[in-house]
Amino acid sequence: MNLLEIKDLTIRFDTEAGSVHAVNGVSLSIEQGETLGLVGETGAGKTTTALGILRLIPDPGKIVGGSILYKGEDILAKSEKEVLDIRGNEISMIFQDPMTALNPVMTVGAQVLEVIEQHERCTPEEARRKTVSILGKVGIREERVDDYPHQFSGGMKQRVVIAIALACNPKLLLADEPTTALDVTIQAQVMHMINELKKEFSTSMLLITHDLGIVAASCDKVAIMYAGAIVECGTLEDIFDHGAHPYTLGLFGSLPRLDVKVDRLTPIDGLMPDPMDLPQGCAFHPRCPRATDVCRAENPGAAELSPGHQVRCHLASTHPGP
Amino acid sequence: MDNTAKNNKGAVPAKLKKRSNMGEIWHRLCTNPVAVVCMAYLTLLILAIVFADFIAPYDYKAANLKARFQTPSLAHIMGTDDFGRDLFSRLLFGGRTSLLVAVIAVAIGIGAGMVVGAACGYFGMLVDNLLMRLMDIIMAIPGMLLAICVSVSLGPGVVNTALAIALGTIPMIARQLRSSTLLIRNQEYIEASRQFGAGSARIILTHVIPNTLAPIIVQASLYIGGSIMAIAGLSFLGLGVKPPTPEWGNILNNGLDYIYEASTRWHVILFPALIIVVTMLAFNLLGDNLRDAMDPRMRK
Amino acid sequence: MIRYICRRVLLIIPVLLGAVIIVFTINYFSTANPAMIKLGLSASDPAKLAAMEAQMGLDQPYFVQLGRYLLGLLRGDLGQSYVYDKTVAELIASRIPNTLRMSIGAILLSIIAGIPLGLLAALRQNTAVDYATTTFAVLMNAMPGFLVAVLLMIIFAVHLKWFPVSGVDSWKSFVLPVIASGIGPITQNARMTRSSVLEVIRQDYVRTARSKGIEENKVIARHILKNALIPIITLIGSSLGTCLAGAILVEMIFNIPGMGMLINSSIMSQDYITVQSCVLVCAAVVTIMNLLTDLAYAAVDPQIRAQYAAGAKKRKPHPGAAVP
Repeated sequence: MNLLEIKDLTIRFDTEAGSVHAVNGVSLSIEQGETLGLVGETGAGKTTTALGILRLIPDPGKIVGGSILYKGEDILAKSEKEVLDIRGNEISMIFQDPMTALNPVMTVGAQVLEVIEQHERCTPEEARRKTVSILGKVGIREERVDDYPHQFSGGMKQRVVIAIALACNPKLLLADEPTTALDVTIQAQVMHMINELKKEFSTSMLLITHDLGIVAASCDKVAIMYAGAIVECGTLEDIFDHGAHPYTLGLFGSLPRLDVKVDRLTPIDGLMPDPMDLPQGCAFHPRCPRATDVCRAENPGAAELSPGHQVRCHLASTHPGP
Repeated sequence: MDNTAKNNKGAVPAKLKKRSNMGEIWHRLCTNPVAVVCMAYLTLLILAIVFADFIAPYDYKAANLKARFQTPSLAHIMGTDDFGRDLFSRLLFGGRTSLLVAVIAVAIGIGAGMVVGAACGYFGMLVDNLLMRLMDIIMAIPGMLLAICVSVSLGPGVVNTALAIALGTIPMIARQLRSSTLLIRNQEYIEASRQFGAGSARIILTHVIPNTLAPIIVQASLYIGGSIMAIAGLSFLGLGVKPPTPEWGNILNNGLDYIYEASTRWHVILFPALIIVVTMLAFNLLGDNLRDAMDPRMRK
Repeated sequence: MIRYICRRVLLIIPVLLGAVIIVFTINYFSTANPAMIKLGLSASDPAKLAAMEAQMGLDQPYFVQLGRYLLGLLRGDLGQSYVYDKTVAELIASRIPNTLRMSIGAILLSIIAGIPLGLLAALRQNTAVDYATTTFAVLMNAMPGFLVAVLLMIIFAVHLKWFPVSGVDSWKSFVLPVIASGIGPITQNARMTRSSVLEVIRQDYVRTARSKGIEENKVIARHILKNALIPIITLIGSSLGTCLAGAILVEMIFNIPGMGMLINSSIMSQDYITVQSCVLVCAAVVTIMNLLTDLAYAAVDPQIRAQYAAGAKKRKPHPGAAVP
């Protein structure tokens, strides 16, 4: 059984200026111990999907359809109180920007302690001991536990954020671009640490990123997201070697490669469509080099190219990738 | 996430575009019902005050002891006061005094504040330090108490009262202008005009003051509201503009003598109070809405 | 931290000195002649007048007068009342307790009423509660405190007779005056809390807190309020000035013998030295209160505390700080 199975998740922000279609029918699944990479441009709806799993969509956003099965139970059908028991305990999240993710007027220790006290029955001394131990695991020494966030560097803050997320041994970790805001040298360290801790606790992970290098290094499966929909998903190999969707191919085309000599990178022309005004048909057609009349008229359904490798493209079956 | 990304786009060039945006600000003000109501009320009020000689049905000084404390009727739409004077006429002429004092006070406050602020920006260092400490000291004294002190010292009268109220606003304007000066001084186009040989004085006159005028106009609207309140407060203490010159504050204060007979003489309290509150409300709301209209973050 | 406290305490000395000089100077240029006021009717005799002027030191140059006044202040001597046979210090000492009672009551009220109101409005943004609070705040902001006092008095004292109309017989006498002088600060606190909470609520760390699975009331208390209150502390400090000024007018309506009544009667009897001293005492109280606020600010915000501990001078704006 899948640990997490999202079906047709649809999230909309109803603003005065109009409806923002942030997530449009996303389906994905994660097995025990597995890492799924969710890849896409800024604004594709990756973070919103992750927040949806925790039911933390900010106002005026609403989950308008679909289901999120966690251990076979629909999170969307649970009461607010039941969701509280899941958040931070069963499923926790690492946020993108460590500089703003910590409360400036609480010591980092208190911020970690808070999760442990909430979810675990233990004496204050035990909670404190656990706090020190988890912070130690992410490389923060005991004497710094009572310091405030502003006394830490960006990389150290991200370690605290990770400690908060891992404090209660969650089954599923939602990591939202955990290294984007960090220096390149720190990025590798933090990613390495996440992977080690994940192994140690046999945690599953949804890793949101736009860095294909990180995906290649850490993920078992990959889902490519565009304009609020998963356009292609499959195993690492499916996507990297047999990518079929023109957008996936475009993403790789805009990457520099060491093994092939190219004079110029080929970026994808144009910009992401305005989620308030999505184009008719396939959302990618205005930027797609191979778009046809069908693409302009109809939104493609998911087609399975090989077991587990799905793609949403009218052309994928007729023009398989290189 | 998606929302913030979108809102940020329009936020950048606010400072420099301000003047060319006057039309847009005006448009936004005109589509805002609250602002329109405020502007309509204030226009009406100012017209009524300017043409008070033609509008007022009675001589505001004419006492009629046979007609004291008449409640509102067709003859006296707001009734008469303790001397049998027509309240409506008195409020019209009283408004002339109140607004005149408020406008003079704000003009003095803004004028002096700008001079001080610009001097700080122009001379820098020593003068800046001295003047700003002086401003800090003035701000340490609560505005109303400072006004009382000055008013006691200078005695009653329109200009003296205006001066008393203005003193407290000078530091705020000066601080604002000073920080704008410092902000603008470091911008590249100032660097450019300095390269062309423009002196500090010229830069302050041609760049700094025009750029800070807009926010100061907004402040002016709020300060006029505050000044009307301060004038009324001074009148209440027996300072400020003294009777028989009618002024909203002293008309109200006069009415308040009859507070225990409010059930039959309510009008001598209600109408002056109402006109003070509504006028203040109009100036405050107009100021608030003007500020919102100018706020680049509110733009879509 | 101790160094910071010392520096802040030392810094108020020039401010107080400056305030004394300014107020003294304003009074020095007064059109009224204190000797004339003191002599009353017998001032028509030029010889007596000149003698009195010499006795009061009015014939001395400005700096000598100022110096004498400052020396007097150091000994706690605020001067002699022109009208009563008492020192100004005595007059003020007998009146200040009532005014302080009212102002402190008003500040406490503004905290316990204003902050929850603003919090409620922010948490229920764009609902009836929010609109009602905002409208109330705008309306009250346009009402002079003494007018609110009059309204309260007519309704609750004259008509309903719940509270006494005037005097200081029991705690009941203070209820209406405290509400009247606190109404301005209440609305200010409510507005500020609302905008500050709305600012903080959008911060990432609030989302982090929610992702921990802690209950909403803990999120509000530990994460939202604690951050949102930082800019409000400054406002509370500065609202003492408003409360004092408000109390002075309100006292006169409710006939409470405090500084306000003293100022008013001194104005009437032209006892200007007393007016001047009252203003100075109020300024001193406000300055000291602002100092305490700054210290409280440093105690709450670890970033500022750390900066001063490190000896840094500049105060960084707090991310939760909102412009009202």
